[in-house]
Amino acid sequence: MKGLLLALLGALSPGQDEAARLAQEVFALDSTDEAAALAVLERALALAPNRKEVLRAALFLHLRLRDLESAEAFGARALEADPSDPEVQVWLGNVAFWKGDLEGAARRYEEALARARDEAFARDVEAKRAQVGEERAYRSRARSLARRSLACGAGAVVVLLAGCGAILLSSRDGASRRALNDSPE
Amino acid sequence: MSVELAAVRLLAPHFGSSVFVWTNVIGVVLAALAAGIFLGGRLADRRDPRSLLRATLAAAGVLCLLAPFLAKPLADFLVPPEAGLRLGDALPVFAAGSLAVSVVVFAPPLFFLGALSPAAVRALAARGAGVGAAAGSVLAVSTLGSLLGTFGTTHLLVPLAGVRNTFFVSSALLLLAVLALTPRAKGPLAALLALPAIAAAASGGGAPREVPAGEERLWAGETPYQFAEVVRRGEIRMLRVNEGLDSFQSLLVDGTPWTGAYYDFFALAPLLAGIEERGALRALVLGLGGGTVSRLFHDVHGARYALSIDGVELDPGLLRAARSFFDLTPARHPHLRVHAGVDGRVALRALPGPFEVVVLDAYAHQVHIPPHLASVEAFEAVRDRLAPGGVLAVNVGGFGFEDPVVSAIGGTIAAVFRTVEGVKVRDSRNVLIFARREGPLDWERARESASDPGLRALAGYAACPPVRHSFPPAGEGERLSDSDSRLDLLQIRSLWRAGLRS
Repeated sequence: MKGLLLALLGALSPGQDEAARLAQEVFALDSTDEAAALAVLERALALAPNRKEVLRAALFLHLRLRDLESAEAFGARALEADPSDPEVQVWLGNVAFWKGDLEGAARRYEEALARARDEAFARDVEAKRAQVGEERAYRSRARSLARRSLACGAGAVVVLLAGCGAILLSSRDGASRRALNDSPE
Repeated sequence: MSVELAAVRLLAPHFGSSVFVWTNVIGVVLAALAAGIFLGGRLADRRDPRSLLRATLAAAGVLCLLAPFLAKPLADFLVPPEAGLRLGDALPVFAAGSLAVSVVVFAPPLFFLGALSPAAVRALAARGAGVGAAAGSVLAVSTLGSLLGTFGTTHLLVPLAGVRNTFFVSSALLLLAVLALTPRAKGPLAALLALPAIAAAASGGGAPREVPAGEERLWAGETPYQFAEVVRRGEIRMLRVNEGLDSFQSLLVDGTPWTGAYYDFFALAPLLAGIEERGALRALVLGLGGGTVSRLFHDVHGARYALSIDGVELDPGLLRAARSFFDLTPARHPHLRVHAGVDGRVALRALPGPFEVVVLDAYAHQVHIPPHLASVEAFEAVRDRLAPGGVLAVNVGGFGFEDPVVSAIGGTIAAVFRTVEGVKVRDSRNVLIFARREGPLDWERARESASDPGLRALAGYAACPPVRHSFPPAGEGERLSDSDSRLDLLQIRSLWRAGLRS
């Protein structure tokens, strides 16, 4: 309801079309000149800070710059403006992935998949879900390697201590025996 | 000493040669020696000291021979090459794994080597020497042997024969000593003992570790400082040292000066220094490695500026590999003067400058910036070598601007230079820190003056405020200095934090 209201208000305010055009320009510029894209985005945000297209562009560009906190904030606002946008879900999934939140990323990608508009998009999202799966597998592998090494390292310390302890104790026993044998009856 | 030094080198391709590995090896060696000396002393009182001497020498010799054959499978079990472990997650594996391998592989031979001394004292005393004189002689000979082992291993055996052969040579020497102590009737039997070590040494060492799937190894070898290898993955050639994992020392991509990695950002430094077209660009590169930065400067800035580069590399072994596999030749790098085997701080004293750009990309043990190159004193030396308006560019490994290593080095540089800013390198654990001797770091101007499309895209990225961070000067007690450097500790903390994140 709030999103609908914001969109309605946005549509009535001036500069909306210009803001949408600038948002498109951000996508076109981003890989070649991110500073220029950021400047264009700032102009678009000044014209229509709540317009869906502008918020999508802001999410996309900040994600590209790996400014994850800002990307997440713009993404949340973009979803308020249009909760059914599957691309925003994918980008928010990417934000979660880069932040290391694999569960969050998987949830976002599933949401996006449920709203996929065509097969190519669905294939892309599937690839991202697979990436999450690979990362999960990697983390589990890394954890198991760390556990294995820690167990072996702890075992090594025990062996070292036990070996040294056994040597010391055996020599003390020997010394005691000798002391007993040498003691005058 | 020979076994101890070679032990660290034997572990380095698998676990690196960080402070953990060194302390684990030294700790295990000392514990094993202590146990051996203690028990050897008890046994020497009960048994014939000469036969005890022969037995301990033979056992130590055989175990030294086995060490390289045991270390590799054990290390591969703990850090499988196909696991794809990332450097950021490897610290607990390296710390605990190197301890486990040290105990299994190096403690047994060192235990028997420890048992030698009391047996030798007893043997000398049995021949009529006083106990004090016998102990003094054995300790003196043992210390001189350690001295010989230290210099011989570091400067001769490892560089000339390799790490595995160092173990085989040690083994052969121990077994030949058995031969010398064996009565004539048993001589041939003892000679047979020495044969496997000699045969193993003659057969060479073999590969110290496997390369991950999808990579082809072009070269591998021991340099005076570390294990190094050149591998190819598709169109990318990588120079890696020690444990490697997902990290690399130098990159070369076929057909382009750009690497797609942090090195590319060094190309922004001349733009930030505000050098006029055709003006002098005198650059000092501390940590030349395979010459990635020199290549980039030649290809991207060679036509625009009057270029001259002083490249400093401590490890001459890396330069030899770079000549063969990274085309680090005078023909390809006509404006480069290479200073081989020179430490960065020494170079800062010896090279007069002035330089428009100083690049600091020096690492020890793969991930550790040498503390003496990240101190207030080091950055003051850089500032004194910079031309007015000159720029220092430093590669710092760390996970963002809040990383303890990044903030400590950034703050320390800011205590010396007025303007210090970091740029986060996309999708990497690198932050490039830029500092200017005089004047501001004008990113917009750098972006406008970039003519090469690749350089322009980089400048465009770096000009975005969200990817940059301005470092405030570190307080008196916080800055890193030659006498009070917490860098090793901070680097360990940074890696722990990274490990905990995943």
